[in-house]
Amino acid sequence: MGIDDLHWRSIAEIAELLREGEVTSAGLTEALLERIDETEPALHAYVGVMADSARREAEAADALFARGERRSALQGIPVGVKDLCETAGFPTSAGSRALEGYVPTNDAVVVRRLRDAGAVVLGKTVTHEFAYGQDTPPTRNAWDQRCYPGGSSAGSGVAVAAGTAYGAVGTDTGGSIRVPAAVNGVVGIKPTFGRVSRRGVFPMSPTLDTVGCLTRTARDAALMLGVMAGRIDQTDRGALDEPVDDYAAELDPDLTGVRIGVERAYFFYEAVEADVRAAVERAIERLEELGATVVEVTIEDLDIVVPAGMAVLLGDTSEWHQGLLRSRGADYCRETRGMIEVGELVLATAYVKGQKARRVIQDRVRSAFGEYRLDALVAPTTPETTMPIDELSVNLTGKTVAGALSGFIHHNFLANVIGIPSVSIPVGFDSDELPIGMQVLGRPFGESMILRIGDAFQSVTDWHARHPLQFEVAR
Amino acid sequence: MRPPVDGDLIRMLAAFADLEIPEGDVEMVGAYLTNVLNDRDRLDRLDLSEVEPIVTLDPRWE
Repeated sequence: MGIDDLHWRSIAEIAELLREGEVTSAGLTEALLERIDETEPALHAYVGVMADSARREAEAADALFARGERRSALQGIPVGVKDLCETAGFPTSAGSRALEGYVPTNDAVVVRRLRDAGAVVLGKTVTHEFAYGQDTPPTRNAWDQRCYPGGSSAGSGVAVAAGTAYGAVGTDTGGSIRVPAAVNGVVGIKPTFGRVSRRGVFPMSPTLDTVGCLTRTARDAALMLGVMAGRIDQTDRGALDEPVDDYAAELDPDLTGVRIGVERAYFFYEAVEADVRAAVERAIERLEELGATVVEVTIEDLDIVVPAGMAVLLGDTSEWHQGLLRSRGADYCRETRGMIEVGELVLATAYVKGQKARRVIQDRVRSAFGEYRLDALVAPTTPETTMPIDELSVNLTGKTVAGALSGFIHHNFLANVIGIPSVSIPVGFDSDELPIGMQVLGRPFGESMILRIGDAFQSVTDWHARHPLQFEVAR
Repeated sequence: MRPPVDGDLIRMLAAFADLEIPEGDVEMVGAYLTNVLNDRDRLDRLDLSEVEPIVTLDPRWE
């Protein structure tokens, strides 16, 4: 890989080149801004590019390097930020015309942490409207521009896959980091609920929303999450007060002693595509070869994950939108508005039942981790690979697993409903050369373990090193 | 037996919620609500009588 391919390097590699003075942040930033110009007509990963401030941040990072100062592994590294996160002085629209013209005065905590760590914020990545994931933004899958890019952190997934960001912030309420990671062939981590501050991030649900990141390797996710995690002070109610591990330091390719569960009834049902099933099975075998012990497990009542989560999500989201819906309702896209409208019509008793059912699910999963002495669960991130946008079945209510989005929620909602961490890693391609993801779900605040499993897998595979090379404007 | 979700029901519920649903959204919202009610039925099969909801009040000030 030569100097012309710097955009494919990992954060860990680029950090080393920056530290050694072999590249500058200003040079990297300029190269990525040029690459954004080249790829955006086909991909539409960014809703806004912050070229001026990015250049200033890159120069500041280079000045720190020149003085021998290093604030973090992300110093000088260009990253993207989902447009659900507020950015001081730069428009934040949450993907909605209803917020057109809104310019925050403060950065979201996660943006501030990245900037304080010396990262270069290149721009705002496209989100589905208010992250509700029903609309189809112009963003296109990095591997096939006719196809769905995942959502709602669509732009973040595509930018990382296309080499127009080394990492990107995403948010995840029901798979919105892991799905775009899986369908674009990158890594996406949804941390434990409260691990990364939600302050300054447009909400869906105060008990389901999670902020995380998308990168090309698990090691990069460890580095980026290490910068993003933790609350800023006692007034920050968007994060939990738990110590932050040194995730990168705890990576270890030897998985001896690690116990990994496979729950087939819920995650490997008939509708899971053969290519997806085969790739995940092969990945599980690789984990065994690395020393892990794989255990077949049964967890009762997982079939209520989606109904429980949706009962809560609908009410929470609609409550936040009540005022905006009445003043700017016509500016919402129709499908998002419909979901918000229906959330106002459901009974409060259903909401409480959803919250109680979450406790039941949490108990079931906790018991399973205890009974089988598990460190993690593994499962396909999605039951199928991405599909042409015009074949997408739009049904966010999760009634069945037949529709594509419903299947995505079926596989991903568990981690949100009980707040556990989950990382999606690329584990292969289907017969159409579309990426396949496997998620690794961990114990609460078990990010170190799931990243270790992901990194160990990537130490003996090269799926993460394959890149989409051609981008064509879809017809 | 639950009455079917139709346009009149949606309009009535919306009125109680002080919500003006555009006429073009009524059918779509009805379909969504039907799915939501079916989901609620799935929750009803659980015995939740002794279960604490996952959100509880923390009354501590410090």
